[in-house]
Amino acid sequence: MKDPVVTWLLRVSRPVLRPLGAAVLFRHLDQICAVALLSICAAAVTGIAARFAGATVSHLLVTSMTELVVVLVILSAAKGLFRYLEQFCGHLVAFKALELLRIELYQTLVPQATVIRRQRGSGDVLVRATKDIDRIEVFFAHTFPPATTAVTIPIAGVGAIAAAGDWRIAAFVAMMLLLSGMLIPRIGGRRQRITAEQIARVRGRLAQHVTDSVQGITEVTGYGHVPDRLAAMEHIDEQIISLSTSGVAAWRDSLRLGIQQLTLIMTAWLGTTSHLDPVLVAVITAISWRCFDATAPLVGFADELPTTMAAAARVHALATAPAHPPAVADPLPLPLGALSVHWQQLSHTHSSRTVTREPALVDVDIEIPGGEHACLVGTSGSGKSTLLELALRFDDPSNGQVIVGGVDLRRTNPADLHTRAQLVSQSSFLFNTGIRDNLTLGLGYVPDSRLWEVLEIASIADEVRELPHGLDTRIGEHATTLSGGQRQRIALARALLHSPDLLLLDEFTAHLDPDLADRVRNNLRCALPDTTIIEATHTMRGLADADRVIVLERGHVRPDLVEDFLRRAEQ
Amino acid sequence: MIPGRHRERRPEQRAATRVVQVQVTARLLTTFGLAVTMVGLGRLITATITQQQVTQPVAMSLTGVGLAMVTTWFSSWVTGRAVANHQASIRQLALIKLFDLGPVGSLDDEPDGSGAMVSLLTDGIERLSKWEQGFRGPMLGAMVSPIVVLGVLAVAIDPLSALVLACCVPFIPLTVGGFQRAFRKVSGESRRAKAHLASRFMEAIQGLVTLTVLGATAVMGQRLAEAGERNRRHTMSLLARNQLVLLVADLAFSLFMVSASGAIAWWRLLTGQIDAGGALGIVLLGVLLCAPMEMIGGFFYIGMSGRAASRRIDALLDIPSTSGTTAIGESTGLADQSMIAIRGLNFAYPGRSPVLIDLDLDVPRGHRITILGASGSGKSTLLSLLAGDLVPDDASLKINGVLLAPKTRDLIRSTSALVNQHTWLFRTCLAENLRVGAPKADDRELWDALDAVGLADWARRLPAGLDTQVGEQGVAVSGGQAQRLSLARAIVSGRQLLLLDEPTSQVDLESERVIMEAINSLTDRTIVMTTHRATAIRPADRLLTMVDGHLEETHQ
Repeated sequence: MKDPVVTWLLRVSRPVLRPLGAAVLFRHLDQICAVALLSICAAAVTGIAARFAGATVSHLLVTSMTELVVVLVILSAAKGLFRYLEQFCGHLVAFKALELLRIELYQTLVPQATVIRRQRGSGDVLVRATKDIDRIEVFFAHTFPPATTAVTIPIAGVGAIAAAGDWRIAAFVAMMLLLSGMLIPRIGGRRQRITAEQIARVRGRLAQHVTDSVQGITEVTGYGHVPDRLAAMEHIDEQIISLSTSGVAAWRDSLRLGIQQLTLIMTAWLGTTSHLDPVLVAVITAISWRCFDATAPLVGFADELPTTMAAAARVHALATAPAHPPAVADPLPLPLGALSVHWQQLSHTHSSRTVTREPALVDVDIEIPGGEHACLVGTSGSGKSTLLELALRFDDPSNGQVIVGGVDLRRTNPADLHTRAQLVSQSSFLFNTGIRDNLTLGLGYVPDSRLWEVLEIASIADEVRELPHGLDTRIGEHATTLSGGQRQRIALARALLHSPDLLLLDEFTAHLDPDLADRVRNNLRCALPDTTIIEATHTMRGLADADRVIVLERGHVRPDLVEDFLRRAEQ
Repeated sequence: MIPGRHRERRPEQRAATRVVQVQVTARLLTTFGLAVTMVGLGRLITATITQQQVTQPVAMSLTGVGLAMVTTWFSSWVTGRAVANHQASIRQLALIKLFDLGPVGSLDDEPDGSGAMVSLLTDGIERLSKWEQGFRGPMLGAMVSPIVVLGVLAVAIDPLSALVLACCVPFIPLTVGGFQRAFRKVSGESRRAKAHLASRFMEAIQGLVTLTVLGATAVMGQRLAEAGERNRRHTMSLLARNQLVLLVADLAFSLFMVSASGAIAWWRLLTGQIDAGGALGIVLLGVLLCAPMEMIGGFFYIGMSGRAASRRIDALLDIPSTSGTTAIGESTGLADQSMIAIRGLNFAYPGRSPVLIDLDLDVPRGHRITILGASGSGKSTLLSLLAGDLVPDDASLKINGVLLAPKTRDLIRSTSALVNQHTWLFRTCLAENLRVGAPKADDRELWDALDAVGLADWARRLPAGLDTQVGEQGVAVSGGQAQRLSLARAIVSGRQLLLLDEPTSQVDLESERVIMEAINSLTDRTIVMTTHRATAIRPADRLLTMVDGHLEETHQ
């Protein structure tokens, strides 16, 4: 039965399978050299010792010390080379796999991005996805090749023993290898697995507890809750301690060592007492030793496989989620000119995987003709942001229609809509690159004169001129930090570059002092006479000049409050 | 390679060092046991050549294995406990430090800052402990173990061989030391490159909605792919060069340990100094000498990340406490009967220009004042000072008759309840969230407070009433409701001084009305409220405006 997660993983990582195969090959060669090195050394020494003591020896591998040294040097060099190549290929696989998985995740998130953002805990989901990808990459590159040799080398080794010497010894070694490789990891087996699950759960609780302490530090320190928090965390840590000291790991490690050494002793004893050629016995012992060494990675592999598969399953779920909103077969085009917006008998509740949520909008019907300047007034939680997002088809409404330019958005292509309409909101993201680059993202070449033009409209041109590198100044984490108001205005300038026929502004004056906000508003009106501008705000400024004012409160339209608000605006 | 700097600042370091000593000793004893086993094996295999009984070598080997098994078990058992204990104690230290620094001193304002902190306290400390208590000890033991092997060789087989091999042993620290230096450079560079790529990827993911609206998703995707490819080529070419050192190391071990022991065994055999058993024994012991090699891989993964985490924890623990400086004498001119008495307060954040300049304020008990000012004018800073989260350098602020100083911080904190613009609801039930300020409050007090903020009906309709889970995984709470719950908390706490930072700036109209009514009904408490909206003012005893870092009386 084909596991969809495995199939997906293989498909995504196809380009990397060949270097992975090379890594596996080189690892095999490295291990074979290791076996050969020890076997030849032991055999040669035993052989010459036997000859020296006068015993008859079947045939000598090497006859002089120089020969021995030469052979060993060549083998050592070969082993070193293969080891190096294995590591190199492993790293190659690691980097490439990481890239592939990230690109895959990015590409599959694009069609769902607007909906994921509104889901609760979305930040967590994405952070976890990146960690999951790292884990998958580590597994591929560094856990998989050793796991293959952990199986193949012992099989080949047992075969070699059977061919060269005694099949009874071979059978014995095979049995001990199985015991060590398969049975030992199962010691405490079920209990160990349950413990591992418990530890994972407690660690989850620990992470939550720490998050609460860090995010809620104001409350914790302000209300004198520090000793309680510390005590609670100590309690959780104590649970982890008691779960971690079960002693099972100690038994495993000790038994593995014991089985390995006892096998060697038994093998040697069996060989000697059945009067096999001592050279053969030496070789058999050497091969057995290396076989056990090869199985060492199996422990780590067994531990990591389930967590890695869980990680892969999570990323797979994210990557295969359907595009939302769904694509349209024959998209209708939007009419030219200023776009009107009609939210028609609309109710909407944001989807959530975990909890039921209150509706964001209830029975809303708002019509804004093209070219008008309208204000949606309401405080946080009133639903105005949701209205704006629906107008850009971030999602399809639970009930009702959104009609832009006379066309039901369900029949259009979001990409088309985004060439005609722009949104500037608090969550407009500025990237860690230059101002020019941020402005022209998605537009190709734009002459500087046009850039200064939009910066003037957004009332930020002078401030940009004063920056150390002007338009080339990097903004973002490690570079010049801009204030909230400055970022807002740059995001506005960026939207203006797209010459939108519909401009949606979500609280864009939040960080601006009132006079500056007025100036920007006036600039917009003058510069975009033929654009429908819809501004969502919770302040009173600018209402008096609007063509239309709509008040929203807790998801409902409240025409009864419009008078109130207008009166307050004129004061 | 030497166990990290001994920082007596971390008292648990002594216990940790003891654990490391135990691990090293156990490792050496294990090696001893295995060495004895090897000697026995050598004699056993060549018994037909040397015409000896098998019983003695078998007994010897079995004893060696027995010892090795016991010491391995013990070392594993000690390690398991030590790692868990170490994590717990470091975590306590880190959290104590964090709380000591307080909300203003420890975190950056970016939301990402707290995410990184949580990650450090959970994953980071886990890596640290895995390294310091899980790996470092056994690794040290492995590094030193060749001495034990050579000792057994000298005593049981042939001192001269031991001496010759001993001359080869110094190559171990030389080559490993060489790795460390070379690998650190490339691991540093490639780590930085990897981190850079990771942050670009995160950025693209976070800005995905913006990219969608701008029609730039394809462009960004292409950039990511190109950046990834460039980075990979660069790092691979770095690695290709530096991994050569690994080749040299592998070669060195194979040559000087396995091959050398073979050659020496041959030589000593032919000169008649050792017998067959001894010769084979030397070869087998040579394999044991390679033990350090196996540790190197682990060192670079576990060790590097563990030490990086250790540095970050040390950096956190090294942040100086917000201990103001010196003269905490009695100040003159500050009234003791007022709730708040401030005279000539100057405050600047370290390295920045002063926010509050020569500020005076006197608020008698039971009064309420509103402070008006634009964002960034210093209102929040003033509130942080009143709450005890910040401490001024000079003796200029008294709350309820107590001068604010590092020693009196906790007392000052317990006098006031701060209601911030952004509330954090803990991942526990509603009742626990409300009880944060007064753990012994009974249910009736909780319901009274919920009534005062207009949330009693809402709470009654919840699936489990007061026991309903709230917070990130619990019942969805709107911004306005969260703010009202924060006010309810403050009411339940019973504290006499209420500090409200823009309590209605982010909330819906109804919440605003309810909150203002609730505030008005708290007649017995002293209330300081800040806002930037003139329209949010309700009748207060006094209205003050923040101008140029100090307060001016304003008339409504």
